Amino acid sequence: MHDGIVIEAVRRNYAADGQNVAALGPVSVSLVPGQTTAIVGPSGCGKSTLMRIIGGLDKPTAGRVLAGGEPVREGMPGVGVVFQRDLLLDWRTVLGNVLLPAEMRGMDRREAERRARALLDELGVGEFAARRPWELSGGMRQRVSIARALLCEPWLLLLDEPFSALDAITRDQMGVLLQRVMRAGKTSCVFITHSIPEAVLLSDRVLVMSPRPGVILDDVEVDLPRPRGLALREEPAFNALVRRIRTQFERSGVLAA
Amino acid sequence: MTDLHAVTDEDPMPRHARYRGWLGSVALPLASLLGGLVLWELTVRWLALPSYLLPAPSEIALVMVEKWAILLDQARYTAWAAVAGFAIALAISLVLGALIAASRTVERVIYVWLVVFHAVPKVVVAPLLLVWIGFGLKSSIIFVVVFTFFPILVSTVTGLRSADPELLLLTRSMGASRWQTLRAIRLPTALPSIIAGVKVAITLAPVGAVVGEFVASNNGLGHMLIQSVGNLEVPTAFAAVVLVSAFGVLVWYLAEYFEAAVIPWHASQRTRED
Ligand SMILES: Nc1ncnc2c1ncn2[C@@H]1O[C@H](COP(=O)(O)OP(=O)(O)OP(=O)(O)O)[C@@H](O)[C@H]1O
Ligand SMILES: [Mg+2]
Repeated sequence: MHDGIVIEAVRRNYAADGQNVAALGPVSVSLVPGQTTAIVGPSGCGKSTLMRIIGGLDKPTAGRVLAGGEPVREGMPGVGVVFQRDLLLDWRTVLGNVLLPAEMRGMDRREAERRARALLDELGVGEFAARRPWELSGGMRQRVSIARALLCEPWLLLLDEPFSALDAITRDQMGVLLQRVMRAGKTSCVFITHSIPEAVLLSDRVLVMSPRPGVILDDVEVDLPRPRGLALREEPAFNALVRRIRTQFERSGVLAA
Repeated sequence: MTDLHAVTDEDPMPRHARYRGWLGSVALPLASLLGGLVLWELTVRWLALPSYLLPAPSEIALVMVEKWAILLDQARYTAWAAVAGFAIALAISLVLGALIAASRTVERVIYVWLVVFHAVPKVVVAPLLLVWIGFGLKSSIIFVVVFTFFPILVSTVTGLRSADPELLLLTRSMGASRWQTLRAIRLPTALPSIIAGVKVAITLAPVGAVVGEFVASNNGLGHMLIQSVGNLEVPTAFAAVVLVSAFGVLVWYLAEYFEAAVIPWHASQRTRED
């Protein structure tokens, strides 16, 4: 559907207490279609801001973002978003939550429901389709929100620290699960995380950002075979990449050496 | 603490817990009411209070039995004013509330008027209504509207504005229209708040009707109350008070029932079990 996303000299300032504060940029980078790009960087460096701008959900102060040559815009079809909080609606069943984007887009209900059930099954929460969100654990809830983001077969999937609120074991499980449902090659994925190993494990490429205002310090290609399991974390190649990114952080003063 | 009893598999609900649940919800309030009535009766008899000062419950009950036809008639009149006025207030508040929540400009222009309107002491200007609208049911209904619209309006505006910004970002990413967002997110988010306002308003409805009847009606329990006090028929006045209160209690429980039916998913409904 597109030739990838081109981010051109994007900056974002916020007005805070009458002052104009630079939060992001300038950032220029092209995302390869079908790839998963992880963004790592210190808290407050503008990762979430950049992600919103890529999805057309926020306007850059300067610069622009093109998808397939067209400027991105809010509400464009085929964009799925997952946030740190699962944002499930208590007044809907699990299935009803997954169907929300289909309703907003006026998709055929039967087809959407078939797909929603398949996704829930694939994510291991199929048996909870008729339950209410509050009856589910945190990990299960986040699976449901991933199913919701995948319902409309997105060409662009934006994940803003989707596993940060989960415990370590669930987090590992979710990483493996996410790779399975990501529709390799068809979906471009922007994955924001604070965890360097998680970034390396899940992505084809890691963008390392500086403290605020965030610019890209390093662009690391992750050329590790897929599918990747948790055992990969013992491999020297994996650790070399993790070390390289960590070194970047140390150099920019984010981590003490 | 004995309150933190562990519930075992064999006995999902221990007998004392079940007993306490039943006791708590029905028996205790009833016993409390009855006890109060008995105390009242005994006090009146013991002090030999004349009935124009304070009639005993038994005397009030007797009057209610004697005059049941006229009391019922007047009660129906008052109830009708309360229900009609409340329905009108509900419609006005929901529409106005939605408009105010949707637009800051609308808010700046009309909210201030509503606040002023609400701040005016209603009972004091009541006689003016009589001048403007005249005697009868219409005045009572308008009184109920004036008494009840404000809590619903405020809770509607607050509710419609309290949608989670991140959730709204999510629906925007799905290309949702304003109308779709209203239906899918804002309205359900607002419901608990709106219902809280409705519960406050609904107990004010009978009060509004009675105040309206004080000034501008020769019908209804309010009118009957004023008249019987004037004639020193205090037991009859009490009978009217009992009926107004009973009506208030009835609509309150209706509202609670409605609440449980409409927002069973809300945390306030889920944590009821203890
Ligand atoms: N609505 C806003 N108004 C003012 N400043 C904002 C706003 N949103 C973000 N900022 C500022 O912009 C900067 C970048 O914020 P952003 O949320 O993108 O950071 P982040 O990298 O996602 O951080 P974290 O890792 O903690 O989520 C922050 O310094 C923040 O204070
Ligand atoms: Mg963030």
